[in-house]
Amino acid sequence: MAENAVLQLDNVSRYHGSRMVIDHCSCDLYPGEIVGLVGPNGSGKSTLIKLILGLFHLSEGSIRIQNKDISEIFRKPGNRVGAILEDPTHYEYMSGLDHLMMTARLYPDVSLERIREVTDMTGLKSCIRNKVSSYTTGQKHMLALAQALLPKPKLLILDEPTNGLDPVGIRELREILKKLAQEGVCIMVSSHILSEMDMLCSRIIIMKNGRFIADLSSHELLDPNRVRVRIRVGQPEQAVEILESLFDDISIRQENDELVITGENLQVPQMNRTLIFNEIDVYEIAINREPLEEYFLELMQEDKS
Amino acid sequence: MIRLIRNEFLKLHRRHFFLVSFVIVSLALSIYTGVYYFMADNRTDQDIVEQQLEKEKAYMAQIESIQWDTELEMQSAILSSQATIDRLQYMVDHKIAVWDWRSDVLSRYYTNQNIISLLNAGQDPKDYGFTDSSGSYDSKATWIQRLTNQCDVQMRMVEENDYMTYSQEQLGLLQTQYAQNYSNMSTLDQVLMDIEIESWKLYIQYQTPPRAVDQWKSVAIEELANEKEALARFQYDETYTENMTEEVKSRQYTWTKRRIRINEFALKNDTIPLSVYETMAANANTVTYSSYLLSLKNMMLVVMAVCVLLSATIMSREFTRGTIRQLLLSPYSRTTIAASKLITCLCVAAIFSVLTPVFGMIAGRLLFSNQTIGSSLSTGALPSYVSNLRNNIIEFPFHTYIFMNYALEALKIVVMIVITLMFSTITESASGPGLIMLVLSLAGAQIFQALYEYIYPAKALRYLLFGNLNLIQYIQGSWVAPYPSAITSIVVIFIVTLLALFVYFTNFRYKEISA
Repeated sequence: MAENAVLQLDNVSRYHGSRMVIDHCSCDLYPGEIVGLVGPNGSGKSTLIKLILGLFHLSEGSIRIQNKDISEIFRKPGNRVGAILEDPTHYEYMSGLDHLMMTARLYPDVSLERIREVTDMTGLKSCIRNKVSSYTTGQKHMLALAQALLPKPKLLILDEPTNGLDPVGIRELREILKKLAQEGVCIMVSSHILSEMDMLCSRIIIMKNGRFIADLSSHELLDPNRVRVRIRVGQPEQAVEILESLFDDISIRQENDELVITGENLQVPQMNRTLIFNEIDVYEIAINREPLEEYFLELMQEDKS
Repeated sequence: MIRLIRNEFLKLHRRHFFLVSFVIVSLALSIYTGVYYFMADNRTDQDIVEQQLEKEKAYMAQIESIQWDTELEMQSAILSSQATIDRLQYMVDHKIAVWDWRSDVLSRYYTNQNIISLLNAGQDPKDYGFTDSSGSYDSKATWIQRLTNQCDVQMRMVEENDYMTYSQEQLGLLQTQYAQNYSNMSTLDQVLMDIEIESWKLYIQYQTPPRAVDQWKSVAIEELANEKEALARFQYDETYTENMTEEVKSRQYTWTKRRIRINEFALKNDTIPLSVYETMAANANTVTYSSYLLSLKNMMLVVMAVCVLLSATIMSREFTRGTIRQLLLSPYSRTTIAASKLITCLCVAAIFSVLTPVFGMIAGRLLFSNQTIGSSLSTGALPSYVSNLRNNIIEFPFHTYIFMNYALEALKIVVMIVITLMFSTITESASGPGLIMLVLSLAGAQIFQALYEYIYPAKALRYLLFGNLNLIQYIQGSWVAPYPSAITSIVVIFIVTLLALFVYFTNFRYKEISA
């Protein structure tokens, strides 16, 4: 399987002075995958991306893109890695078309037709001849994406791509990325917006303190056996006591007047009935629709405890 | 690589760099040329004589209103002024310049005429101390006859432009004077007199009018005499060198000897040296094509400033704008990217370094002529540059010399580009390195010269770059503090440039991009 991997991280580590900011991270990314890199601020997401793109030096381990070490990959015309880093930057005094022409010039096989294609795909057609200084943030993001897509990359890396985008822009970006994944491009996205990652990614890697602490497929996240239920009640302490005594294999966390219940095969109707029978006022029952966020917070809390 | 360079050119084009710098350089060249053109005092020799004549006439008009002690004094002043007016009028009528040897003869002629008039008017020859060879006073008639004969000889000499007779006469006079006073003269005076006699012999040998500023051989003989005099003073006049350090003394001495060799070579080989030509141009208050083109070399400083500012920004702006990240994702190695930036700067330097002399050649041909400063140069042929390189006399054709001048200026620009690029890449900033390098490139040599001469006269300063960049000094045979040698300069420039290139490429290759 690993031979097909587009990106292979093997025990990747990086020190800042004596502090380890990336701690032995390993994973393989495959064609067609959209991998979300999630973690709190300072968890090392951006550092890891810069390591993958060769902007930082590795302290230990190796990074291979399409079975080639990155020390080779960024020096060869065969390089097919596209990237949009946080807050994409452009030459403000040049037009969008200038940027695309300059990028195209560096790849001998990128034709004018391809420039037209990415311009259409990113919706920049109407403003492509305008100076970048007149672009909106969304248009600047799209231009960066267009530049990254020009050489038909096999690996596309996006660091916080939705920063500063409005909901329409986010949606457009999501559609484009999904389409690219269907075409077999491997995409790695880092973002703070967990709901967005949940909707976009087929795989989520959670980082904390420079380590990968979870690597989940979306199926695992949406596993019906791992449901989270939120119940708002009038007497939370009593309700926790009753539910814990009557139901096995569940975990209950109290958040003010809300109980967050996780566990396998949660029998929500029975719980409801039990609470009412014990004269507990039930105001609201919600089956959690944001499993990633829940899972993420849970992991963060576990780590803290 | 070519593709990266094309991208760099596109960026510069979109930044309007080419337009702005072309306008700046062209404007600087045009202003310089304009100032040069209008600053030139193009008065002809004829104008100068006419002005002197007008001045003398004005003096004559008010001579009677001046308070004189005696009537005789006033009459004498009137006659003297009249003689001057007559002489200048003659020079105007016969197109004789003020520096012309005939002016001297004419002055004597009209003085004699003056005295003849006074004698005829009743003056006593005793009043003038006129005696014969035995010391007794001759009669008035004898004197009048004698002076009239002298006047005839003088006027014939002037009318026939017989400078050979004049030179022989002067030589004879000097030799007599020398023989009479030899025993009473100091060694220095003896040597100086020898030099003067030698000059008159050269005027005769090369059949050139004495002290004629429009005859290159005369100018060369005059320069030769001045340089030999300087050499004599080095040897016999302690006051001449008392303010010089041993180093300056030694350089000046060598320089003077070189100048002597160059002028002797020029006279023997009938070659006009550029230095003599420029002296002639200066004497005639004329701007020539050659002096303009050599002087325009100063405008390479503007080109240097443009190139230093470009080098300071071309890499650092990528860092400050954050566009470096995108650049590094391109399928080229960091070394290639760094090289493309360097080559772009060098291309710009090459464009402007060629533009400047080409502009100079066109403007120089249109505005300044080489045919205006004297009959012997009226062929319009350009003088060669004669240099004394390690005791070998080498003759560089004019345009070869010009090319060397501009090429060595361009070399300075290349060195400054590499150093600026290195500093701006290390610091990822344009303003600091840009400003420092701009000051150093415009005034580095002067700063180091002042440092050496007034603050810290350590010999080690000669190994610093800015004392070594002026390579043309070794061809010209003139040195500036801190007096490095040609080999030292070449080695220092080579090492500094290589070091800067190494640091630039290594720093960029291993730099972490956190922007």
